[in-house]
Amino acid sequence: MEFSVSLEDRIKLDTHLNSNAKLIGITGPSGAGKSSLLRALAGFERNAQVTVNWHLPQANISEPKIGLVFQQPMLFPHLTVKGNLALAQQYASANAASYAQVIKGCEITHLLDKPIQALSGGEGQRVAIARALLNGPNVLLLDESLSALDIGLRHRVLAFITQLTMQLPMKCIWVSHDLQDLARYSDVMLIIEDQGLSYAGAAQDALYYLNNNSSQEHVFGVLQGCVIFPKELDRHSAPISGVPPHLPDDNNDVGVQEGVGVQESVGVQTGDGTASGLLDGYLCVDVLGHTLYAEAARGGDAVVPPANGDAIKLVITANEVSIDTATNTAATTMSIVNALPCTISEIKRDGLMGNASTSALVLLDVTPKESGKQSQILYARVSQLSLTRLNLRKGMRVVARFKMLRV
Amino acid sequence: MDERASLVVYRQILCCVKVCLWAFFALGVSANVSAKEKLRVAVAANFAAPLKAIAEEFTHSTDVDVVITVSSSGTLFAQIMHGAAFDVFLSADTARVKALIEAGRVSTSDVEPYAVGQLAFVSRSAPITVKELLSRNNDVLSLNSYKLAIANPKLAPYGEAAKEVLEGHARWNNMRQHIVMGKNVLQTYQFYRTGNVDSAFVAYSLVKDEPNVDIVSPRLYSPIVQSLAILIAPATAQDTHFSQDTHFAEDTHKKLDSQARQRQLAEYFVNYLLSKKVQQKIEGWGYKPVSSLSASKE
Amino acid sequence: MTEALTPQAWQAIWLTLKLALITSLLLMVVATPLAWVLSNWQHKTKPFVLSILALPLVLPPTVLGFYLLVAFSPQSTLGGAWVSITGHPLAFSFEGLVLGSLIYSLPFALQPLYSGFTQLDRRYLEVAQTLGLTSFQRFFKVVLPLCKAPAIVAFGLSFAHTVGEFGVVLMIGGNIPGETQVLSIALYEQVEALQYQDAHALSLCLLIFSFLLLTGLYRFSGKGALGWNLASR
Repeated sequence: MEFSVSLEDRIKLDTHLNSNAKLIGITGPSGAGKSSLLRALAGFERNAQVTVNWHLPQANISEPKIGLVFQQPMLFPHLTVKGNLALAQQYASANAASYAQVIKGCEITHLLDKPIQALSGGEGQRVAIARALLNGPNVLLLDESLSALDIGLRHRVLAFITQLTMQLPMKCIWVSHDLQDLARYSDVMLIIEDQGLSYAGAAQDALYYLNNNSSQEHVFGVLQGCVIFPKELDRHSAPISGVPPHLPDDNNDVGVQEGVGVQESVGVQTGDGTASGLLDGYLCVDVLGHTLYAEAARGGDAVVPPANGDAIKLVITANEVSIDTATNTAATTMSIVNALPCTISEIKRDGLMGNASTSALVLLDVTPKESGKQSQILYARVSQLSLTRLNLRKGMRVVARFKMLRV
Repeated sequence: MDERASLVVYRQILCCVKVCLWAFFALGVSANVSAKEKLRVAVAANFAAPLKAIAEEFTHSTDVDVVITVSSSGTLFAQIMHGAAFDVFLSADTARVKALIEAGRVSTSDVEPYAVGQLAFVSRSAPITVKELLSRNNDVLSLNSYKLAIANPKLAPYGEAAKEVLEGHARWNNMRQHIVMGKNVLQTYQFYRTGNVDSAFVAYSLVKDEPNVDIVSPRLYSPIVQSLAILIAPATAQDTHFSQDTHFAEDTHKKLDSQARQRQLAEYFVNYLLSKKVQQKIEGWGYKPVSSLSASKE
Repeated sequence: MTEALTPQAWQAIWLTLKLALITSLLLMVVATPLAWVLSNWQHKTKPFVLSILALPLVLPPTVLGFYLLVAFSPQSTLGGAWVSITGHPLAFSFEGLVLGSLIYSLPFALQPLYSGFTQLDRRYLEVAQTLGLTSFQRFFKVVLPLCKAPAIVAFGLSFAHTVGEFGVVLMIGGNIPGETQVLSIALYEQVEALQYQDAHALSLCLLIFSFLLLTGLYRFSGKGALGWNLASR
């Protein structure tokens, strides 16, 4: 996907992105030009020069339909919620999602007859997103359109949008300040600063850039893995949904990658050593060959539960991660279930603004089970006390331990 | 600001105020010193031009300023009834002045005719004369677009006269649809001048210098008698010698003096207007002198 | 009180209402697109254009009426064309009054509409554009419904203003009962002719009507106009 946008004094960027990216997250400080970028892409800025090659799945779309949702819902006050949605449907393109699906996915069933003035901020935003979706855009632009939703709703709506990007010829570009959301739900991320592009790339790489270049209080890492079910409890006999855990490069024509480790019984190990299989509500995730456990959040009704082999991203804040110098990952004497073998790649002692702080940030390289695979980065926040006590040094092999995650 | 500076500013302001007051006073005094006596005359629009000329001559010979207010007779009547401070009222008709008498505002002896108006007919296409207009043979009635303008008979005596002319020859009803009414003769003439009507009945004084003017024969309508009223009562009507408070008596004497003087000025002016010399002059303005009334009565 | 009003008075009332209604409706048709175009137009000459359109507010009505009289004359371009098309002159006709009232009341229709349009959050239109509406559709389905209140104010004001029109009608009307003798002229005639009783009755009628009209207008504009929160929520 080639992007070239230029609007004097507001934004200028030129970049190439992975054509298979469906969700493109954008972040950056206020006033950096993010909204200008979206507006230019939507065609609202007459003075902007915009050249984009969207690489949409269906090549016969001559001019892609671009939908834009502002931070303010901008719902037409003279119509009810239903009226707004009906208007969008009236002018919808052929590849719009179904009415029922969108209503369920955005969780607005109970709002349909309400007048616009009676909606709260979050309700309004959901209706606005639903309206845009019903219109069947090829590219959906969201300018901080989820800011008024609480965290659970945000995740459900983003999961729903993610699913739609798989089902329909639709891509989504969304602006947010919430890095965790962005890490979780973006395929690629753009960091816009000072009317220009500071970084463009995969989410975890963008995060790495951010963590290194700005003082982040809440550092977190992103691990990419895929969902696995132990063979005994494989509920889905249907083939996998077809998205590989790593996006293939434009040059490699890597096809669909089968889920890793389906044949082996990688189940939960209980105390007596028997594989008991997956307990309801928990997910197994394979990251670099290691098994992690996560609690599956109650997804919205419209979201299809993850299937075997689905790619998934795990967001782990540095505060959650502890370092164990005992290198036996399989040890089960602790209630902390997740363990990953890592190598310490860097230790950052400085606190904010150069003041000495009581904790340090340790960058860990997760060691893949099979050699040859690319490692991933994890962050751990460790007290200075522990640093000295455990004598943590660069290059040391340790085990990162963290509790069950919520996805 | 320190004390010294504030003192300077204070003195500057005081100086300014003194200068202003002095100027004000001087102006007032000078105004008083050069104050001419003033006579306030209200006149109906149609007689405005002749009156201005007459007033100028009056001022020239008596050194009394004549302040003229021009409006319609009806408006002036209403204003006078509600306390407008005019000294003399020159109406376009006699009816308004009579109404002032009936309302008790003026006494009968203070009312006099001062001029007789003449009705004229102007037209830029056939029929050119009144005779043609009134004749049964004229075919203007078939032309939907033909328009004749007259002053509103309810408001202006010239309009009333025009209506009389048409009614006298039984033309009023079948000409109704062609008639356009101006609020006064001036507007009527304006309709004609701007080309919006083909013909008009107007005051002769307005068109006396134009070609194609047909003076309507006085036999066709009742005379348009324009009367005036002196609005200031004579001084003898109020006698305050019996007032108990001497101060008060002094003040009213002063007031009486000025009122008596105004009355005097008004009488001077009216006499001037009614003098033979001036009455002859108004013929030049398109009016007939009052004396013509008695002549026509025969 | 109805007995106090002469048939001539009723005729004047009816004529006035007819004139006001026709003028206001025509003005809505003319002023709405004009206000929309103006609200979207940016140019350095814009202040001049706006001033010209606001002139009838400032000009004395009699001055306006006088120039209309000259323009309506069969000897001028406009008046002459009118006579050749319709067969009778433009002055002293109801159509002439309508034309005069259109010019006289134009700012009263234009200003509220212009104000409403400029206050409209352009993002509504941007959203509508992304949804796929053409500019025509955006105007009729988004702009007009959202600006219903300013439109009603515009209609009401031009109606009320035309009802009170006097100076212009005095100049070009010719005081023809049933054709151009509107309420204000009839009142004037009664006062000038010293028919004070008739004048009182007619004035009272006019006052009550105007009061009711304006009250309704204010009630509506207070509740509806800005209650819709034209700026985004």
